[in-house]
Amino acid sequence: MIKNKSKPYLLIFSLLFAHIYSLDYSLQDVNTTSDTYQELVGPSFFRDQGKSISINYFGWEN
Amino acid sequence: MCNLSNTNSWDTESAVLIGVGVGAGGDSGLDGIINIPGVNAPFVQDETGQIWEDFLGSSNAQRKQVVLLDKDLNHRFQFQYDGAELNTSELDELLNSIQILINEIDFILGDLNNDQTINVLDLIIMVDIALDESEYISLADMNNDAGINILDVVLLLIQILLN
Repeated sequence: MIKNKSKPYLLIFSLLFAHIYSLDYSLQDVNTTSDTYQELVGPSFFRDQGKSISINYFGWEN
Repeated sequence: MCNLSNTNSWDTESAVLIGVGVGAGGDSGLDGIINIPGVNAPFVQDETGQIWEDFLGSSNAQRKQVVLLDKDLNHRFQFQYDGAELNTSELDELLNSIQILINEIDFILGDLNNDQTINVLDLIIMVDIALDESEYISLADMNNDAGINILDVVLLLIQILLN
């Protein structure tokens, strides 16, 4: 009985999770040798240009 | 020996490498596997640490991590590298994962008859797949839980209604 009652909530959660759990950012490109130097870039910026997949490398600045 | 850049062996028309540093630093390259003079990958500085928090779980997370986002900006793959450079197996694993996401670009999740739209026909196919527990088709796995069941059917139904 409890299980049956919880199913709608589980479903709603799954749906919301699928649509909300997306990641993005928009920050200035500081690489002087990049084509997008000084532009605000991020995954959605490049997706809008047709580069749908982003490979985000996390490192430290020198 | 391998350092990553946007001239690497993935389809650069479909996938882009972005370096994300944490804190305020100089405009030089990032430490690690994309620290090559003249590299063309865009670098951004996450001064507040919020992006590291969102992507890695902490602004103090270990560096030299790679997070792949799919076409819907969903977090799909994450890798941690310890060496100064990627070895062959690490590179192969990364490139294979990138290719998986690139292959998905032309496909619509839930479009099981591949007619570039999702409708009741796909729903019928989905029900068949859900009833046949031995069959797994990634395009039918709406909630990405490695199984096809009633949840996927209902998610597809909602998607059809929303469309």
